[in-house]
Amino acid sequence: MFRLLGILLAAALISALLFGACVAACGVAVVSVVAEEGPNIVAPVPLMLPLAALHLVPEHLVEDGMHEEMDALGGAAILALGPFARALAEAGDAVLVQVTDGEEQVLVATEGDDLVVRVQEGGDSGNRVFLRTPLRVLEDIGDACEAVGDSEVRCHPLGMARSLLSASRGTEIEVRDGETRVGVTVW
Amino acid sequence: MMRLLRTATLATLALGLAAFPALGQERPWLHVQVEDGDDNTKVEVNLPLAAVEALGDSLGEKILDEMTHEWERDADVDVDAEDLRAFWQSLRDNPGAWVTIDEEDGGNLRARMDGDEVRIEGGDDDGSLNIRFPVAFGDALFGEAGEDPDLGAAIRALANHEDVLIAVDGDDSRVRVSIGPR
Repeated sequence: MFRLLGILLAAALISALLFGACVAACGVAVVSVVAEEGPNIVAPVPLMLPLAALHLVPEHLVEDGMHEEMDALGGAAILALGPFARALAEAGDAVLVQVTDGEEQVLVATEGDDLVVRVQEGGDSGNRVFLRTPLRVLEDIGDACEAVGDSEVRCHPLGMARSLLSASRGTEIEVRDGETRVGVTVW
Repeated sequence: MMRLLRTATLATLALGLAAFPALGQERPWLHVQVEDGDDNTKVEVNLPLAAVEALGDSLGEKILDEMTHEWERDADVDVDAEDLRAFWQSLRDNPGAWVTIDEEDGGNLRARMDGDEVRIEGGDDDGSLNIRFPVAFGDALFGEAGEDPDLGAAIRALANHEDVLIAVDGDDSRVRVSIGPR
């Protein structure tokens, strides 16, 4: 009896460890929402969940959906992402785009191996958007697609999602809208 | 002996540096600045030319296709790469002033090839326009007979043109596109 219980416990422990290893390998996104009214929420989301969900959708459906949305120029733009991101990474830290329109400001910059986007409106206490993501994310999106023939570009959604998820570690997103703040950090 | 060795090492290093003049020399960047005084808007874009080349290599053909289709649709003329190459070649074979327009109200426009540069300059009461690009840009863009126009190669040809490419000045607005250091 005790032996059976021991075996069951060991199986449960191994399953939990495997699940934990799987979650750790895929990464975890921690989503936090701080609202002026209402409860504050912090929710860790294992990234293996969207990946597993994508496995359940027939790949050709996702592929067809993507190709319907993508014209020749869009496909070429996705293919350009890889070499574009590599050239940015080699060039080092820089402010790439800066837009100032009255009290609104947009800044796109490279910092280390990351691409950083900051949007600010309405002065110091106004709304804000902050995004930091490794440049590798752009590279991986581009590298998951390939040119087929002269004008067609074919992307592999599952491969794209897989490489995106693995590359997205270190991604931070913060949005402040009035007194509400939403943050996403990928570990 | 040590002195000889040191001299030989220094000489080898000097030769190596002479053979690779690009070593330690930063590659140029593309800078775009747009200012609109009317609504106090300022836009600045700075990109390593290598990144712009990557875009040109991947997107160039599609962009040029779109431009040609738009041109054909709007102007109702059938233009292909060979026509454009022939037009460019005829300009290239006739350096000097290509276009000179002087209007009564003071407006003017000049297009000419000056040495290894193409210059387009114009102005009126509202502002001025100044475009300069190396002849090598057009040569690389249109390439040899039978080849498709190559925007990536044309962008690469701008690398040695560290200067202002486009300058537009209006009453309250200003546009600058230039190639230069970071």
